[in-house]
Order: sequence, then C-alpha cells, then structure tokens
Amino acid sequence: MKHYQWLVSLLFVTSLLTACVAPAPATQSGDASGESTGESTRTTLRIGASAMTDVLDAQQSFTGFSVDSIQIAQPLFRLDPDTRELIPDLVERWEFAEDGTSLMVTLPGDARFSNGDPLDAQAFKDAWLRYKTISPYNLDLEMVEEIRVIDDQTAEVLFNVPPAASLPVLITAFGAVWNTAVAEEIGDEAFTIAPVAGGPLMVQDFTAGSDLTLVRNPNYQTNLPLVENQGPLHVETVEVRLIQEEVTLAGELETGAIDLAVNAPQSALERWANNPDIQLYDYLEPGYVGIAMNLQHPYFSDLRVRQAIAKAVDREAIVKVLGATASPQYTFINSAMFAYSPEMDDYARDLHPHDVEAAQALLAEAGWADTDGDGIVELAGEPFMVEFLTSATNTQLHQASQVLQTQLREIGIDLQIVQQDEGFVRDAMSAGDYDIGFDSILWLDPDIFLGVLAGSWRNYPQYDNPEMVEELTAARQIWDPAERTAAYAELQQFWLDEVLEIPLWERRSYVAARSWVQGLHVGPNNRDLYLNDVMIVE
Amino acid sequence: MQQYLVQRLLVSVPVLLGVTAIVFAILFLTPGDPVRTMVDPRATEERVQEIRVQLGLDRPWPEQYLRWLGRVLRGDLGVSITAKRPVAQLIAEQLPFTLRLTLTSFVIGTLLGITLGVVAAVKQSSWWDHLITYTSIFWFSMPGFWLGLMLILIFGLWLRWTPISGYRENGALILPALTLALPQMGSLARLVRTEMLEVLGEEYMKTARAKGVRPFLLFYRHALRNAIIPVAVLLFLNVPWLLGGTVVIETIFAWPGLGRLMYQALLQKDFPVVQGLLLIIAFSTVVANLLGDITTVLLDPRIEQA
Repeated sequence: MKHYQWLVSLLFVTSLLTACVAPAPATQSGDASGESTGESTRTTLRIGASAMTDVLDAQQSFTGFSVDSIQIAQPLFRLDPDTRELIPDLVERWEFAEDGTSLMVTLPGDARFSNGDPLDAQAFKDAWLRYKTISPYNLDLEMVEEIRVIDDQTAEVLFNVPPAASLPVLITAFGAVWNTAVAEEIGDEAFTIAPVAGGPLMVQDFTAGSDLTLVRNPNYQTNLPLVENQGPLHVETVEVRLIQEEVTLAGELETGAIDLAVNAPQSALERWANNPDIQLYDYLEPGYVGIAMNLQHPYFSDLRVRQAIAKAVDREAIVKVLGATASPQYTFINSAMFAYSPEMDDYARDLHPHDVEAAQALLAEAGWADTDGDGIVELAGEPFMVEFLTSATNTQLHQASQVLQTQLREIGIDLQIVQQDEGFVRDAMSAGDYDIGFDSILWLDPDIFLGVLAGSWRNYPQYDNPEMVEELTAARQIWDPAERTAAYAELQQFWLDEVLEIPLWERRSYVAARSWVQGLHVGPNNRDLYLNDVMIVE
Repeated sequence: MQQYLVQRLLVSVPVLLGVTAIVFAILFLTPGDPVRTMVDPRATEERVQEIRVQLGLDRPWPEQYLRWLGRVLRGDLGVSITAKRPVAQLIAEQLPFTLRLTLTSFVIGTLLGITLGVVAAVKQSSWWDHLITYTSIFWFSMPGFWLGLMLILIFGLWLRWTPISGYRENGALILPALTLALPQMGSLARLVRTEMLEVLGEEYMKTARAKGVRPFLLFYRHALRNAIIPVAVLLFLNVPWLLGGTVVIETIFAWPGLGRLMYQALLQKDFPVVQGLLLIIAFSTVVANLLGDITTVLLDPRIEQA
C-alpha cells in the first residue's frame, strides 16, 4: 500500500473512533425541585459554570447575578418560583407600608455572619448604605431616603418613592447584607475576593477566572419556605469551576467530573433530555429577544413598514432553529416578569399574526413596489436594502438573523447581515448608528423599558416621546401590583400599536445535574440555586 | 559579542517604546466610551464626565500617554475595571499557569520535533520518513481549537484516560500541553528534516563518514549542530506564538492563565487588563527575538562578524 494511503486510512480510523462516542440513553427533563432519598455519600458538590464573577463582593461588582455571589450572601427576600411573590430569606418578618414608602424588617435574633459577627439591624443598615456609596449600580437604591435602626433586630427603611422597580435588585446578592465592618478592616480591594456575609457558604479559596472553593457556613440560617433544611447545608464544600467552552462543560458533566452545570449548553440538551443519569431543571428568563429598528431611519420611521415587518416574521420558524432554549413571544412583558398581563399576550398575537400577504399590502400602501422584478421592493428608485447588525460571537442570534433574512426577503426586503463585536453592536445601536438589529431584554421588572424604549442610555429604537417617558416614570412608582400591571398593559398596547420593537422569542435556560444530586431547588432563574437540601447520593 | 549585545539592546528600546504607543492607542481606537463601561449605564453625562476627570481621561492624549508610560515604568499597570484589583496582581496570579503550560508544551514540542526531524532526515525516503513528514503536516495544519476538542473527545470523553479540563487533577496538563505542542512539533520536525538533509549533503559530512566517525557523533555532533541554527531562531520566535495560542487553549480546557484573562478582558472591554497583557506579550516577543539573535551568534560566530 502506498504511504499516503496509510495516512488516509489513519485519518479515517481516527474519524470513525471519534464518531463512535457512545450516545447517552434517554431520560425526561425534571421539574424545578427535587427530594433527597438517601444517605449522602459525598460532601463536596462540584459545579461547572459558563460564567463567573471576578468580584465576589456583589456591591462592587458589575455582575452580582452570578451563581457564586448569591451563595455567599443572603438577601432579605427571594421570589417564589410559582407565584412570583416575595418570600423571606434572611428576614423573620417584614411589612411594607400600604403606599410602599416604608419597609419594616425584623431579623432573627441570633443571626450571625459567617465569621461570627452579629448580623443585626445595624449591619443591615450599614450594608445598604455601603451599596448606595460604592456600587456601580448605586442608583438602584436612590429611592432609599433613610434607614432607622429601631432595635437590634428591627430596622425601618424609608423610601422617597415606592421601591417596586428595585425589587429585582433587592432579591439578589446586590441587596444582600454584606459585612461592612470586615470590608472596612481589610479594605474594599481585599473584600472583592474574600468577602464575608451571611449566606449558606463562605469563601475558602478563589482563583479569579478559574475556580472558587466555598465551604459551609456553620452560622447560616434561613426563613425560606421552599426548603426543608433551614440551617447549615448538608454539603460541606462546593467547588465552582469556570468552564466557558460548551463541549468541555458538557463533557465534564457526562464523565461525572462535575455534578451540576449551570447554563447547560444548548447543544447537549437534546442528548441529556433522554439520559437517565442527568436531570434537567428549566426556567423561563424574564424579557425577550426581538427586532429593534432605528426609528430615525427614513424607511423605519413609517409605521406601515414596521407593521409589515411584524407581520412578515414567523416566530415558529425562528424558534425551531433555536431549539429548546426559545419559545415564541409577542409581548414586551413575558410571564417571568413583574406586571405580566396575559391579556396583552392575546392582544399582541392577534394584532400582528404571521401574514405575508398582509405584510406585502402594507409595504405597497407605503409606496414600496418591485418595479424591476428582482424580488426587492423600491421607493423612488431606492431598493429596500438595510444592514442587520448582529453580534459575531452569539451563534443563536446569527442563526435567527439568517431565518429573518429569508422571511423578509419574501416581502421584498433585502437584509444584509453584518456581524460585529458585541461591544461595537451595543455602542452602535445605542448611538443610533445602525439600521436594524436585535435587542435583548433580560430583567425582572418592566421599569427597564424606561431606558430601553425611552431613555438616553440604551434606547435602540431612538424613540423620543416625552409623554411616554412621563407615563413610564409614573408607572415605576406605582406600588399596588394590580394598578402597576394595568399601567404597563396600557403602555404595552401603545408599544405594540406603534411597533417600537418586535419581540420574537423568550429564553428558557437549563441547569443540568447528575442523578446523584438530590434535593436541588432551582428557580425562578439561575441566580436562585438553592443548595439547602442538596445531598450527593451516588 | 558584548558590542553586539549592546547594539541589539539599544535597538530594542525604540521598538518597545513604539509598542507602548500602539498599546496605549488601543484605548482610543476601540469604539465606544471606555468610561461608560465603568459606570452604571443609567449614569448621567455629568457623572460620566466626573469620572473622566478623576481618571485623567479629559487630558490631552500626549499627556495621558506620558503619565501612563510613567506608571508602567514603575510597574503600575493600572486597575482592572471588572476585577477592581491591580492589573499587575492579576497577571502575576495567572502567569505561573501560563508558564507551566507553555514551558511544558515547548519542551515536548521541541524534543519531539527535533528527534522526529533527525530521524526523518537520517532515514530519508524510508517509510519512517514518509510517516513523519505526513503526520507533521497534519499536526501543523490542524487548528488549535479543533485539535483541542478532538483530544477532549477521544482521550477525555471516550477513553477517559485524562481529565478534560481544569488544573487541579493529576494529568490535567496533558491535553492542553499536547494541543499546543503537536503543531509546534510538526513545524519543527519539517524544518529540522530540511536543514539536516542540507547539512548531510555537505562535503565535510562525506569526509567525516569516510574517516569512520560513528553515526551518533556524525548526526548529532556534526550535522545537527549546524542544522540547528535556523531552528534555534524559530524556537525563540515560537514563544510569543505559544503565548498567543494559549487564548484559545486555556478557554477550551478551562486552564487559568493569561490567555483566558485576555479573552475575558476583551469580552468585558477591560482596557487596563488588555493593555497590560499586550505589553507583556510585546515585551516577551522583543526579548525572545533578542535571545534568538544571541543564540544564533553563539552557535555561529560568523554572523556577528558579518
């Protein structure tokens, strides 16, 4: 056999061996809670995460929503995954005034930080005042006017406006009680990697950008109704490893090198859904991914054009490409957000159903026609050709943009996909230096739209409507949930009628765990990973 | 030799200054306002301007450059925007991991590459030669990303011989080091083979053979000694290539190091970290070139005289 034939044979055999990696057997995806059934055989839980903060002290961090910070600190409240109402975590009791302008909290009398310092009302006050001073997101607590310490356990917070819009922050590590005395003693810089708080775990070792070793906090106690174990965790150690590459993360879980993968990679979901060794916990992300059009662009300033695009879009076809991580969304506020209104779902679905003929008619009404028979409509000799700006690193968005390109071609719009660095896309769209692109909203509260659709800091549509800004500002200050929902429903109706943006899909994320991890509770989003009842039963 | 060394060092100074100017300019050339990445997106323009003044970013750019250069010369590479810690500290923490990875892969790649190149040259036209030549082309041509994933699939997932990622487990270094070493081995083997064949064809080699010099001495003392000169230069030029290659490899294998630090900093627009790392890479490239030149002179003094 000639020598090159040996090489070809070697390559073939290598490919064959690689392709023969045994597929995993099937299993069903699990629900968002589990029960412990046996004795723990191991006391170290190993977690793989595709993202990790560089700053463990959420009060100094830009990314305090990570899985690590929330295990170190303990917020006053959390969200019930089913009802989306506040439930106690650190607090024993709490009471908001009827108009929302004050909050009385009562902490457990024996609450302590992980280093033994008392976790009392004064510590709570100091933590929130530190947040107001030091955090890059200190505007979240700008409505806090004063915090009064009534006694060791009790504090009263006075707000100048009801804090409805800040609840998403207060239920996370940002709004948790961090030990400011230790921060003052060791300095803020040292506190970024060795913070002290009252959460279920405390820091033992941290290599930024790599891994974090947490150990059980013996002083931890909670009032969470979701969990059976309201004291120190069953597991003694939690090792969190940053594994950014999807194939690597999936491989580590499949070989059992890690017990849990946060933000399970989409490419592995289908395989794992039928694997009895792996449990999947899914949760709906608040917000949406949709089309943002530059309303200052002469083509998109015409409402009929925007309506035509809304009718040309086929969401079902798009989510088919995206798989289990997406489902169609028509409204701006989805069911994972505060102030969600199911009636707006129906309204949006009926307003712009997928209808290519109706879309073509709208474009014709706006003066667009295909005069030269090339399939692209023109107006005054100008073809409808626009650049669709999207991130070069986000595969999902790229796939979706290609589907959109095909769909808009059907109505005569030529979409030229331009991929750029994510930072460039963000800056260009914020500055209005684009034609059309994606907008991605990921936030619990509809107050986000004050910046996204009206404000100056991230207004991709470049929409200027002072009246709408007033209404959004007023809505953020409404305390009564029903009233707030009604106010945002009215605003949504306006946004949908004006087609300020076109929501396309809502995101579903997954946490994957080996079957020997029992007692895990997840939800309503991945920052809420409750390890209280977790036991490893191999 | 001393004069040559001084000359090369003097030439390196303006090169390094030029590099610092380019690295500094990155801050201005990158789209977007760097101050905006440091603050709450809802911050007012007044607040942004306040921070700009605090950081001296409102000063004319030559003044900013000189201040920055002064700090760099004192070892102050600034503070990371996202990690809130000195850049020099972050680099110092991650550097040992990258050094461990690159030195290991450098040694593996070099030893294997030279050995295989010599064998291929000595056994020219045999099936050894063909096997080594074709596999060298294969390893050299494989993209690091693909090679790393294939090694993970085969040895980590299927055979379960090695850990897939991380650095704490025994054997965790094997796959990332191989991923960096194999392409290097491929290119070195081809170069060594070519140089050896050229040297083996020289008249003095025929004379040595005729005089009855033992094969080991013939190949390794006489032939390799002369063939290694261009290879030595390539070895040092590989150093910055290795450092750059770790960006992909460290991410795939979750290996903490400068490569992953760079990747994270680029994603997060953490400019002080990006600038600090670029300086490190540029400095190491200049030093590697210098060492390559010195090594060449040591191996062949005729170069200095020329």
